[in-house]
Amino acid sequence: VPKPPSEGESFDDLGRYAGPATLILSSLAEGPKHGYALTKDIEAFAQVRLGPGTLYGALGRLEAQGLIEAVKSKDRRRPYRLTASGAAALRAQLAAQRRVAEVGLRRLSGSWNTL
Amino acid sequence: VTSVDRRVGRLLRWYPPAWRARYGEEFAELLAAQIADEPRCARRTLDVIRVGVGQRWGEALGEDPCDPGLDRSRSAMALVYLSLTVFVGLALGMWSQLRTGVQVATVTGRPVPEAVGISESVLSITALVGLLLFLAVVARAVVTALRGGRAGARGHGGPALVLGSALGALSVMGWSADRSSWYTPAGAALPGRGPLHVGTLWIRRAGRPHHARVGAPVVVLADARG
Repeated sequence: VPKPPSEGESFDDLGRYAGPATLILSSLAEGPKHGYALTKDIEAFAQVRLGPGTLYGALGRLEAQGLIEAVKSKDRRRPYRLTASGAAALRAQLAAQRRVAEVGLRRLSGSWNTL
Repeated sequence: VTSVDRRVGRLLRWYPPAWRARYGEEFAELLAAQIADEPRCARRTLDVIRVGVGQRWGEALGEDPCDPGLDRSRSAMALVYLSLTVFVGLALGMWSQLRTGVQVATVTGRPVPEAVGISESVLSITALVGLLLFLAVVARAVVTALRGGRAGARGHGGPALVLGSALGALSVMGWSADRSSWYTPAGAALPGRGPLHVGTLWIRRAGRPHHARVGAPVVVLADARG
């Protein structure tokens, strides 16, 4: 598997939040969302229920790294949106995941198809 | 104030004030919405507490949220040093008590082998830990000097914590042994109620009438207290 592009290294820095970060950025790729909307969207498209602590732990990291930013709002539920560097990091991360998935599926079809 | 508000408030208290100032309001909104969806959820509560404790831990270590790699190594080192601190503190406390009170049986005039074994093992391991810490500090100073830097106090907090704990345990527990009736020239019954009451229970249950004797280590401790 080739080395992912350098933008993907942002995810290495996220440590234990790398998994939730992919989900959050994928959800924000559709448009700005606040915390509750993020959890509902992620649950719908990934069947993963992020705990509130995990969600905000990841949001804090992503915001500190400049991958997302808070949108000014009068509402207590502050929305977040993807930044340009966040979009680039997400694109690289998903491309790397796709390469892994393609290799795994190809090998499965070659060796385990007859079972 | 509703019961939901009270629950949210209790959960928020797990987080440090700086974090609450930044995310508290929106986090409270999310929690209230999730509690409305599902009033009782142990997994959610544990998740909130786990991350809150992590945030407080990170704040205590002065974590930089932009450099999580550094955070992980700091957290790991802090755990190592805290474990060493607890170990060394307890070990030296136990050692001082055993050394001053329990290891000599005046009835037979011979040391109690189990007590001597524990005492010497604890002392050996503690000395090894101390030596490794000392070498780590020296190595760091040498590497810093070779790189042309100036060795500062940064990075020495862990060893200082462990060594300070060791000295504190020796002083406090030595004082405790000295002031208590655990040893007397006449040989008071041992051990009495004290921090190591439970720890030395098995020795008392051996069925032998262990008595204390003032020995050289006591003099050393008394001198150290000075």
